[in-house]
Parts: sequence; structure tokens; C-alpha cells
Amino acid sequence: MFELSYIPTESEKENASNAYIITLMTVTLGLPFPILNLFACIGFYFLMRKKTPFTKFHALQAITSQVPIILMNSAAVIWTIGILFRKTAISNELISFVITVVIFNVTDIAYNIVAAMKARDGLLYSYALFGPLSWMLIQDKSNPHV
Amino acid sequence: MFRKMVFDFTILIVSFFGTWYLLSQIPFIKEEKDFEISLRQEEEIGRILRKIFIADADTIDDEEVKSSVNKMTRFLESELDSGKYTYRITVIETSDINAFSLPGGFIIIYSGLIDFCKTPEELAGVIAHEMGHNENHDVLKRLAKNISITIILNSVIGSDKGNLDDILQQVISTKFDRCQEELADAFAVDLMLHSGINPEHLAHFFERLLDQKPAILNQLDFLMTHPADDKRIEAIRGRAEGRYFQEQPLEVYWPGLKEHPR
Repeated sequence: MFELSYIPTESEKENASNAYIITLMTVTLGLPFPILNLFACIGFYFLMRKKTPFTKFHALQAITSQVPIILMNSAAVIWTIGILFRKTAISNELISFVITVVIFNVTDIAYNIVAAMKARDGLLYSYALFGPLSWMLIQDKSNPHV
Repeated sequence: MFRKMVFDFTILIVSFFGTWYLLSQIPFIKEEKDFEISLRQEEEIGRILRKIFIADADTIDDEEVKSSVNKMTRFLESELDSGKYTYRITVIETSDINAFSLPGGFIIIYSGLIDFCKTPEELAGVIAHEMGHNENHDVLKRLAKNISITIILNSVIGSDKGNLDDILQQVISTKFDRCQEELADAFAVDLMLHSGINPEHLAHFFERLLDQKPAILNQLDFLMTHPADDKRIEAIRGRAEGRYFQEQPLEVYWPGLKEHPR
């Protein structure tokens, strides 16, 4: 779908692949406080900002795809903690919400692993929504490589 | 490309909420069903549990105490529309501050609670609250979370002492959930208003209970099993606010009740 006018180097491929692994690890490790993940992702984006378009595309795709996951996880954590504090009964809605969030998290992990492998192969593997969004964000008319 | 992104975004949102909706149709939590249990069976459960409880407890048989508590209970009961139960109160001699309901209209009150109450109206408020738990079948609902009603009934019929001890222990120690407490409070406020008792007495009771929490923590069984907080006290006041009632004196000999022989 998207094409670069150059062939990424081995170092770019490695950086691009690592972007998925790092964001995935951040989200997994920071699960009790999902909002921290957002800051970690933003920090990671700033590190990647000056990188080449190939790396930047994958880094952005990795970050943007985490935003809905972070929002879902935050909602699940806040809802659960709220129930524990208010000592109210766990509802069917909460259980189904948590299961939905788990399904989306697992899907996200699977996508991240595939994307990391594709990036390692030097491919511009694109997710639905987040791929075009990241592509749009890296558009820079002054950069002839994009 | 922008239209495609909007489409993908819509798909993401729809798939999330769709999955959530579909999953929420699965009953992960067993709904509390209305009990298919007769009043007679309920009363039988209550009677047996009371019997087991008082076997190891020191009941107060003083006529003055029994008559005052009964008078108070009949006074409240006369204002009840349901007339489901004949409430029977048993007073236990212990310094713990507690009261709890058993199925079928049986209520156990600890003498520590009577000592803690400053007025007979406060005690009437607590009794009304316990009546609320009975009227709402809260005790059976709470038990049914862990034990099936059939097992409870079979234990009662077969006088299975081991099971009955467990059932009684659960009745005494398990908390009601917030919603059940709020409904019992609301019931108590309504009953107090109908009976001409100011619900402010119940609010005062909870306030004093909260104020003294650190000092008498070990005795505060009532607070442990009926956790109170400011919101609950506010809710009691809120429900009573602006509602007309004609205050009636509770015709009980309060000093006789407070100073019962020990």
C-alpha cells in the first residue's frame, strides 16, 4: 500500500522492529497504571522523531495502535478499582468489559509480533487505520525519501 | 485515504462495543433468583438457626427487657403493610455492639447495642433496619450466594448440625452489599416516619458509631457487618427530608431496658 523510495538499512529494520517490542513491553509491564504507558509512548516517539521515514513509520504505527489499548486498559483498571473501593458487587458488564479488553490486548500483541517480524524483513507492514494514520503523520514534503 | 480511515475507525469502535455487548449477554454472574421458598420454610430456617445461636449464648430473659423490646417491635410491626412476618427479637447478653436478622422475622440484638443506644428511638431505628433486611430477603440472598437454598432447607429438615453451624456463621459474619444496606436504611426511614419516629435518631446512631470507631473497634461488630459512612448517613437524612410525620413517643421504660439485670 505504501512505498518508500529507498531500501531501509539493517539498522533501520532493527530499530523499526524494536519499536513494536518496546511499546508492547511498556504496555504489558505498565498494565496496573496504563496512563504511564501513554507517557512512555510519547517519550519513545520523541526518540524516534529524528529517525528515517521507515523507522518513524513503524514507531508511529506502534505508538498510535497503543492509544486505544491504553484507553481500554485504563477504563478497565479504573472501573475495577472503583468497585473495590466502593465495595460493590462485580457486575456482568464489568466482567464482559474486561474480557473484551483482554481480547483486544491479545489481538494487539499478535499484530505487534507480526509487525515486528515484517519490519525486520524491511517491509512497510500496515495496520488498518493506524497504518494510514502513521503514513500521514510522517509525510514531509521536504523529505524526498517519503 | 481519509474516508478509509474513518471507516476503519468506525469498524474498531463497533467491534469493541459489539464484542462487549455480545459478551455482556452471557450470564457470568449468577442472577439472584426470587426464592421459591414458603414463609413457613423461611420461618423454620430462622427458628432452627436461632436455636443453634442461643444454645451457646447468654440470652436475657428479664421480663422488663423482653416486654420493652416486644412493645417496640409490635409498634413498628403495626405500621408494616406486608404483615409477612411476626417479628421475634432475642436479646443476647454481650458487650459487643451488634444486631442481625435471621430468616423468617427473627432478629438477634446484643445487649451492647442497647447500652450503646442513647434513646429508645435509636434502638427502634436499628430494629427497623433489621426488619428491612428481613422484608427484602437479604439474609437468604446472602446465604444463597454460597449455599443453595435446597441445601439450607435439607440441612434444616435433617438437622445437619455441621451445615447449620456454617450457615449460621455466614449469617453472622458476612457483610451485606452496599445496595442491600441502602435499601434496609430506606426501609427503616420509611417505617420510622410511618411510626412517628424521627429518622434523625438512626442517623445519630450511625454518626456516634462512626465517631467512636477507634475507641471501641473491637466491639463494633455492627459497623463491621453494616459498614457506615457519611454518604449513608446523608442518604438517611436525604430520604427523610421534608417528609411530614407526627412524632409519637415510644412508650417503653427506657431505664428499665438500659439497666437490665446482668
